[in-house]
Amino acid sequence: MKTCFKLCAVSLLTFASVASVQAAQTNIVQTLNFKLTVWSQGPTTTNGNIVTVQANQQSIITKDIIGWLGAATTNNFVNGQLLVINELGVPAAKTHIIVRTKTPITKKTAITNDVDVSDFFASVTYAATVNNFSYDSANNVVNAGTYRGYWGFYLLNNPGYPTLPVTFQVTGLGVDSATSIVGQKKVVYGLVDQFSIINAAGTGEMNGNTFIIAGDITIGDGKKFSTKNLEVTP
Amino acid sequence: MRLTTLVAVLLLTGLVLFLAGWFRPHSKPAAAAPSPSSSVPLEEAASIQVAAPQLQTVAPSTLPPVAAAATPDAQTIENRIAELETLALNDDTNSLQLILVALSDANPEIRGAALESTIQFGSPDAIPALQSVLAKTELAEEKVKIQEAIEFLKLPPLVTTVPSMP
Repeated sequence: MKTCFKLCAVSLLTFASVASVQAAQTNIVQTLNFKLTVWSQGPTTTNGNIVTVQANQQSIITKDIIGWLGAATTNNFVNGQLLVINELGVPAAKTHIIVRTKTPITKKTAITNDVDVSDFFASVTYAATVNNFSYDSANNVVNAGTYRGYWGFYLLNNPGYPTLPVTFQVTGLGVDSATSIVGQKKVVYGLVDQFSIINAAGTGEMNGNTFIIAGDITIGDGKKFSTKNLEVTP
Repeated sequence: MRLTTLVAVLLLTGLVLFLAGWFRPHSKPAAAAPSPSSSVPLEEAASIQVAAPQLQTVAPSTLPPVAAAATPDAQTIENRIAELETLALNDDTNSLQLILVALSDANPEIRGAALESTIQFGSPDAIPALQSVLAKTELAEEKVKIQEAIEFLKLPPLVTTVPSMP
């Protein structure tokens, strides 16, 4: 009877550990950065015979967008980081855009708070990508490659939330550089996408006034992928 | 009886270890390096064929701390870049200063990350430091990027006031 009990306990423990391993999910976490310039129509002034028409030129950086998202979602995103999270090794893997804030408790520990803001963003592929990669059909492995496409990227209002002060849509040549994540025993776990649209251009709206916009949107910021970009969630 | 045997075994072991140490071949002293100040006439020096030095690969961990710091490994570079990204999220002067110091780093990856962090910090206070780095930089590609960053930071932000949150 005792032996039977022990066996059951061991079986339960084994099952629990296997279940916990299966439940763990590895995500690729990369920064999403914006560096955009906005031109809008400024005031017209008349001084005698001289009529001056001015253009306003202003900037948008990632912090600005995080601030607008914080206002719309009633969150304090001070020192927040805009991140793109891709699920790894999951069929029909989803991509999430989150704002991560860290509140320090001690010198070495902090409470991490993630707020999903995916519904404020959208991306569109306007044409089939032009791809450059190699494929190992014997081992079913896609090697590192580059995918160029005509992409669109949107910052949108999200129904159910207060409107953002600024929305925009840009299009441009996007370059998606995919790098294989190779684990122990040279097993390829998946691909990391480092996406960028450099010199994108489009239009936007601020408080009902339209503007034109140009600049760069990057995921991963062109930096080498490292294990720091991998996160395991329970 | 047992104690005697134990003492004998210990003594024998000690003797064997001592002899092993005594007969171990001593390492030869390193060959004297040629003096860099040895005088050779210029005409002769031009005709001397010097064999290329045999470079030895030395693991970073075996280098003294100063030498290791001069050539950071991939992990150190990653950590520095991650630090710069975190600093860019802040709004305080100290964070900006730490980012600006990294603009002059010997490593081009760290310099690139520092420039990106300067842009994302989003303060025109960085412009004088960028201009100073621009004057010292000799690489054409970096000059262009620094100049673009200066022009970008001169722009006012699109929306200067965001409703404050609780």
